[in-house]
Amino acid sequence: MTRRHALSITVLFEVFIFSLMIVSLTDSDREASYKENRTLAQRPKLTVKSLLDGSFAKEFEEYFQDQFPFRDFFMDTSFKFTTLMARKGEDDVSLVEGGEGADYDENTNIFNPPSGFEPIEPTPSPEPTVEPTMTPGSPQATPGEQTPTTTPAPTKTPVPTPAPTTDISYEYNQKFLRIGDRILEVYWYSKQRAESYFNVLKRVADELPNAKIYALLTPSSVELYTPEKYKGYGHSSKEAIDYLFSNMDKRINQVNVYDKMMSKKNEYIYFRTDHHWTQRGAYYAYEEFCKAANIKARKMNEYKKDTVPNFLGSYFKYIPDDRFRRNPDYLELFYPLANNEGRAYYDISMNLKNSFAVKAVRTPNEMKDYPAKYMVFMNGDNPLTHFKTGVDNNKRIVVFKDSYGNSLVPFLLSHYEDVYVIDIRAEKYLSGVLEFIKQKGINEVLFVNYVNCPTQSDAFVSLDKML
Amino acid sequence: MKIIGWIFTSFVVLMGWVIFYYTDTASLTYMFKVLFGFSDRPVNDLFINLTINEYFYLLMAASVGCMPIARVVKRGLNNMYNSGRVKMEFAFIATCIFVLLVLFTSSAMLVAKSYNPFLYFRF
Repeated sequence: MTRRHALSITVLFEVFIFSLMIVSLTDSDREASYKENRTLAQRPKLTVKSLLDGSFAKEFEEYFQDQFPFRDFFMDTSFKFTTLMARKGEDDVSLVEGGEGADYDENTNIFNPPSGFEPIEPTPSPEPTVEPTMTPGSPQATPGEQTPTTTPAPTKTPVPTPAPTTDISYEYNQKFLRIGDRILEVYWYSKQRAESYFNVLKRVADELPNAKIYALLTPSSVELYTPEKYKGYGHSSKEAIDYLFSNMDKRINQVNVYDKMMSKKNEYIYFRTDHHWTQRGAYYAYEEFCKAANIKARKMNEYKKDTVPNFLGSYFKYIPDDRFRRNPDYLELFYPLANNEGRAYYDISMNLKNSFAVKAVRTPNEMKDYPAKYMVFMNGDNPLTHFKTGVDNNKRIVVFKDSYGNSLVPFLLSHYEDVYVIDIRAEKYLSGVLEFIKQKGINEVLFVNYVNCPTQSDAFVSLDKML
Repeated sequence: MKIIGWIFTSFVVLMGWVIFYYTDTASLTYMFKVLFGFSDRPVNDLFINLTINEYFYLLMAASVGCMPIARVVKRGLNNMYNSGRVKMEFAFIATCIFVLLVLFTSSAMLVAKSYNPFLYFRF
């Protein structure tokens, strides 16, 4: 090799690397990837705290990944290359590693309504004084003094509870099975994690002795749609659900929707590219809840329905196969039957300044330009959402939910005058929740979760801190 | 004696990567248990096959790449460089295309999060 040749190869390398660097430094950040159907991470703020607790490095990593120049093109190339490297097996099945821990929050934009997805109504002009009736449940909060822009320091709850997070047997890695034109997330569960779920249920039952408490647990799609042959991998959701129900506090009313879901599996009750159930799935769960709560469920054909087309969900980004682009999911919408007004709040005192109007179910037109389409229900995940309905029956319920609850809540509006929805991961925003429930005269409590939530995540450790 | 050196180095390097990858000791010990067969984890042939299928040709390429193939290729290229201008230019262009392709695919796979460019941030 001559010197000229060696130099040319070096130059090629440098040009590649530095042109990417220059584009990366000069291009503007995107808010969402329409190809991946999700919002992208934005530049994190550098503070001493975020630098020291490691969150800056983690967020910057996500930001860099998400805003890499020509990201969509590179993602596509990478997927095509991996497909090329795979040898076809006898079935139309592939197994894909997703990375560490669940990474779905962006799909419902947890607690972070991005620009471009403004609330339908403008937020009301800030109230100069805080209404005295809406003080937080904690005695430390001083009404009147509170400035709306700064969130009150989270008040310490007197009960110290251990967080069983250090004793997991191994780090959970997401794995996805693509079977035909459906993506399934392989399920694993940790009994240690479930302890925080039991703790929360027991605490709520202890502190609200007069309330009716319901726990609804549902499997995810992997339980219903994995062919017999591939069942040996991962754990059975049924086993986990049975374990949770048989070990929870006996005062809890159990709503086991497992059999119902199994019997309806031929209907469109789970998305093929997303980790959620469809609203039709949520409807069947609602029917089971009504049985347990002894109320008469509204018939499915009473609802006015609508369709949001072209939905590629959270699983799609791990397996961006063209077959899903050709044949995407869609959302079937059931509009609530009762008149209602919804509002999302970012603190327990229901401060109007940090709130915005929320529709239980948006129209397809309102979702047209937005990729994370599951946000059609209740504007995605917000810490506290309140629905005041036209039902005049003096019944009030609080729903503790993960994002599965978002599509179920619209059905509950027919049966309660007030529906309060609390996201179980909102520890940064809410505290003194039990006191809040007592003050509002709420005497029914419903936990809506898919089985992954109490058995894989720290969500109930978070809820425990909020109580 | 050389072979003992190879085995020892490979072993240390492989174990080093495990330590490097995991940030918590629980996962680390679990991984070592799995590696040396002291775990409750079922060895499921179906899924091992599935995983191997998923990366089949990449694994083959990697296996070939582990052998002292670079030396053979280099010798071949040098012969071409020394046997006439046309062959020399051909060898040069082939090298460029190969280098660019590898660089490009690796970048694409880094972007797609198959690998983590920020591995060192974990410390």
